[in-house]
Amino acid sequence: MNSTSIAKSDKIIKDLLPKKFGRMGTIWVACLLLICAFGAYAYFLQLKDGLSVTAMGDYVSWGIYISNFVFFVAISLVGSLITAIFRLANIHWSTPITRIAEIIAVSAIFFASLIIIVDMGRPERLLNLFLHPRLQSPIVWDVVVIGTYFLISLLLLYLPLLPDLKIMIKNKNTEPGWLNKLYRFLGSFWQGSADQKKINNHSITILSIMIIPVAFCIHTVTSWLFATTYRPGWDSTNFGAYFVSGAFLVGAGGVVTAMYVFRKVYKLEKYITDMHFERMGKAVVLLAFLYLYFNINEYLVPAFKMKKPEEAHLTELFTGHFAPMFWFAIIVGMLLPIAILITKQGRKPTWVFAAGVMVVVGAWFKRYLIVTPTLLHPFLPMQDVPEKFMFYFPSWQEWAIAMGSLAGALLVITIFARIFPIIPIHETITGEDENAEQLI
Amino acid sequence: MKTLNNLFKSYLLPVVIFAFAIPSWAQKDTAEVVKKKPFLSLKYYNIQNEIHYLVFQGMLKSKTNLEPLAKRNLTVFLNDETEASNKIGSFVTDFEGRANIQIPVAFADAWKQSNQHKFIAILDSVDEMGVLQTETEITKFKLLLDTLNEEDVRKIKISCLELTDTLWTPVADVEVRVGIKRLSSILPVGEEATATTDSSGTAIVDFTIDSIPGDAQGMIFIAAKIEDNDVYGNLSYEMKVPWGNASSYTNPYGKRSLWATGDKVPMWLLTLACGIIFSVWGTLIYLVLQLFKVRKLGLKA
Repeated sequence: MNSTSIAKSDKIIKDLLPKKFGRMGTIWVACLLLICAFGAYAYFLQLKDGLSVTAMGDYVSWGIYISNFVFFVAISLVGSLITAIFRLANIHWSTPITRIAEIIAVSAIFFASLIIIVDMGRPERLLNLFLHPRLQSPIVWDVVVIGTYFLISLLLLYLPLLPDLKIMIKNKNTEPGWLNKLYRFLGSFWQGSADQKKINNHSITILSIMIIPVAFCIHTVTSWLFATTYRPGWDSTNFGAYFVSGAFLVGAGGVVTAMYVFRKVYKLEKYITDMHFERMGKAVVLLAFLYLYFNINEYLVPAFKMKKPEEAHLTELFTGHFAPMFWFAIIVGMLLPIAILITKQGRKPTWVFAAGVMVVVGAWFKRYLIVTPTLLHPFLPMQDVPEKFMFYFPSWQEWAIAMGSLAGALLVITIFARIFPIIPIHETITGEDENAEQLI
Repeated sequence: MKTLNNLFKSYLLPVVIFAFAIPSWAQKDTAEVVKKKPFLSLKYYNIQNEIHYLVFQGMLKSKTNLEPLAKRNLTVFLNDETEASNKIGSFVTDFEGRANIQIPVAFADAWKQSNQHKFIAILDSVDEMGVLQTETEITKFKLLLDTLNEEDVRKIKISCLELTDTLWTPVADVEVRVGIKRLSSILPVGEEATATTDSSGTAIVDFTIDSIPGDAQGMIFIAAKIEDNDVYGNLSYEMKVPWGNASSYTNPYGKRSLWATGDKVPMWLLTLACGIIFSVWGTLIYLVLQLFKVRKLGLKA
């Protein structure tokens, strides 16, 4: 073992160990906490007064909560894309971004579960789903598959973290006592022996294989919550593939956004390089084309036929009340990112970041457009109902809860990055030098 | 002079024009209000000669549409609105401008005292129209049904009685809708949908329908209805008779299917779902056990 290798490994460890929040970091966390607290207060009001505090009614019974749920479910797919598909395809350049992808997946799926409980109004009734399940209902399938996906994602986050925990225990002087205790609790048993590594790698491979069908299921089943209902805008055999492609896109958009932020904040230019942005940019543009293709199918085919019940819904989207949001979601969420990322110059980090933000913001509005306009266009005309039933704009409590959940997801990612290395240290060292294994 | 002229052009002229314009706008507004006419109705309902209630509906009628007088305060009195003790209650109209008014038990004595009663509904101030009032007057009335079987022909006998002093006396020339009760209408049983009572206060209608589905025992409901009668209000009466065909109802949710209840899940779905769930969660449990194995190996070392 030469001294250059040792110095190199030490440098990597020093660069990648979690760092304390600076001033900006503290302000960022405080802002997120404030939004979460406001959301929690709004939820307290909802628990106290019931769902009447929302703008939902007899027609729009799924509003911003379900849009948010679908968004969270979609963005969580990124874990399977980066961790599993890239790992199984032996794509090594993705190593520095696997943990970013996994923590996005875990926090998103966690908040997807929470927001669905929020939508129930009476959270204690969730128990009824387990006490009196109706296996024929896609809602039960969704609950099962979300629980499964959460556990797999958690294991896929934890198992590759074990070698890094050993490194962090070794470098305990840099962290406060309670964090060292946490590291010891989570990974003191990891010795890095051949037997341990064999079992661990085997488990990660099984999880990587397993997460792909489960991830496809979670998005397909979520799409079936809509597609198994005979309603304009939802009555489509295309919906599963449409959702999966959209989820891949928003997940990849989320990862490139997070990559850029972590690279800037933690000064990781050496590890998350321009090459990563170049390649992820290519992946995003491919996925954006794929999603655009499904969108054309989803809207052009019914618009060509213009069946009477579909007409009101489609007109509302194309030229009506929802048109600004619809075209914003299509242009900002798909067309502009394609236009930016299709050129080599556009795949520079800043441009990729901008495209990533566009994809994520566009995707959020897209989910809102999937859920709400359809509910405002039932087959039977809306007659003899109060006027407020004919429109939907979320109440401040709904906005606060939805924004609180988004802030909560960002908070989980931020705190994770504060406690654990956001780039796998062990894999980076061994990736650079095969013999460096003995150093750590 | 020039200064005065400028002053007039710059300041006074616009003020004068504005001052003249105000009454013309105001006139227009008033005209719009006047164009709308209130349309109030207070109807009396009696079911099975036992349950009685009132339905109020208020609308503002303009040239083109009817606008419900929604969320307005309404006070209803029995016989005399000047006596506070006659107040049946205060109500608020719903989004259709409607209010259902139950007559409290406390009015039982007042109800018995007379054969005729007046109900007065007073609606709080409506825009510039002030307080609006409507009333309805009814005479106590009984609508009865009976069945006859003459020469193998089933017949429905309707009796209409009015309370005169202390006696129930027959009433002639009352038009009654009669037939088989359906979800929101009455299915005629003969050629005519209605029958009119004769001098004995009765009307007899032949039941000419040969085959009509009833419940499991072949029971159906026959019904009679008096609607919007100026003197008696709205009355209805129904009676169960064994004139239908016994129909056996098979519950489509009783079999295992995708649309059945949770305990009737199709076997193929149950097997498939359980197979997938057990194999996936079995693998996950295996992986968690592997993790414990890793831990054990580490602790041993």
